[in-house]
Amino acid sequence: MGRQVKLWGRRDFLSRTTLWGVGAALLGGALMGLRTLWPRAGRASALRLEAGRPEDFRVGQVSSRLLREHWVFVVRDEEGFYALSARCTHLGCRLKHDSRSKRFHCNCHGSIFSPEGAVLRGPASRHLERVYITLTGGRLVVDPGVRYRRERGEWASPGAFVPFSDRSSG
Amino acid sequence: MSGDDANRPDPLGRQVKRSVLRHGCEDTPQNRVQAVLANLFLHLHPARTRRGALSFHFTLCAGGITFLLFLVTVITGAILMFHFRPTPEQAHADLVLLSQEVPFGALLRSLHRYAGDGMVIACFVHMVRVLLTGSYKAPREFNWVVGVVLLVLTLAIAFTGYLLPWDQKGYWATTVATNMVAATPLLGADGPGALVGPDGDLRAALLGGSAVGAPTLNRFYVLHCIVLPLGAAVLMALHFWRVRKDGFSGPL
Repeated sequence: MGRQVKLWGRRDFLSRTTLWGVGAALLGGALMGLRTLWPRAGRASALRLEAGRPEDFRVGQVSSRLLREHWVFVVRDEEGFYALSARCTHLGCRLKHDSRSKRFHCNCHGSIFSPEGAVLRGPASRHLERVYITLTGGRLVVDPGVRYRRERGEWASPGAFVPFSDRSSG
Repeated sequence: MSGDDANRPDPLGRQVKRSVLRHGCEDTPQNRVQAVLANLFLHLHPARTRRGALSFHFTLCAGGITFLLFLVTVITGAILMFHFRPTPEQAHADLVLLSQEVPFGALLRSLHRYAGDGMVIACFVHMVRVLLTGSYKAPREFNWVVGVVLLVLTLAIAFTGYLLPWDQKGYWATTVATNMVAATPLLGADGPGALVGPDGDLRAALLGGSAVGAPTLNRFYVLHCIVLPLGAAVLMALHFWRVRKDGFSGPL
């Protein structure tokens, strides 16, 4: 030893590497444990949900057939079809369609949306999201995993709307 | 012990008593102190304290009531666990069975529910009392911080328990609250400065998916019965021990 200044002695080295090693192992274990809480995969493969035949819809009709399982309304208007996500943009409760007022109501905090999906009454501040809809083999097909937001101009996207009129079918 | 006792042959019963209690049973000041200090559960208490510090008008007993209600929920909760399976198919049916068929089941469930609600109320009463009497000031600042964490844990236990009956109110309340979690800064998908998407944020970890479902019920059950109460118990021990070490703030 003498007067030589030693930064790390043998014992310092052993105790510090042990401490840091054990610490790193514990931290790693904790992080691995936390990581298990998140599922590995991102989005599942594309869903293709059958929403019915377009001829069976009247103009203005709202179908709640995919509501319970998939939280989607399929709506027919004068020009065609669109699918609305039934997830309230306030805090995520499932909307109900009120056939008398033709509006969408949220039971949790009272938000109301128009048949087009626009906010009519708060506390929700965003319009409803539309989801992918297409017409294949004479049937409407919906994928709730693909979403379109009006404030981003996405409602004009090809998948957000299916043009349809009774004349084109007949 | 007197010298006479030491010379006498030690009967087995006496030896057992000594090995458990580790102090004599005569009513002497030393044994009174020993009875508290040598007991795992009592040693969190101070061996002696000022009379004024225990005045009901000063403490309202709110902290003690909170702890008492915690004990009630732990004991009734442990019995409830024998009758409850946390799956969407069974949870609510088990609850109905418990309320209608299990002897004293409705009483048990009510005790658990009201003790839990009462614990939240008592927490706030305790906190307001500590605030108004200035008991959070030095040297007790750290114990106030521990108390705030305990309040958060108490609210989290109440929140996770709310989903377990698997009824409409619990389901939608959890939907709403977990959507609020998505607004957490950095770790929530809708929060300011979000670092993660909806599949990787705190809400997804709480739900175990993208909506309230079977994994959520299971996760909330484990959080409600093990993780959160265990954390609260450890912090309560620290909280009480600090009360003893920091001293009572009551009047002389």
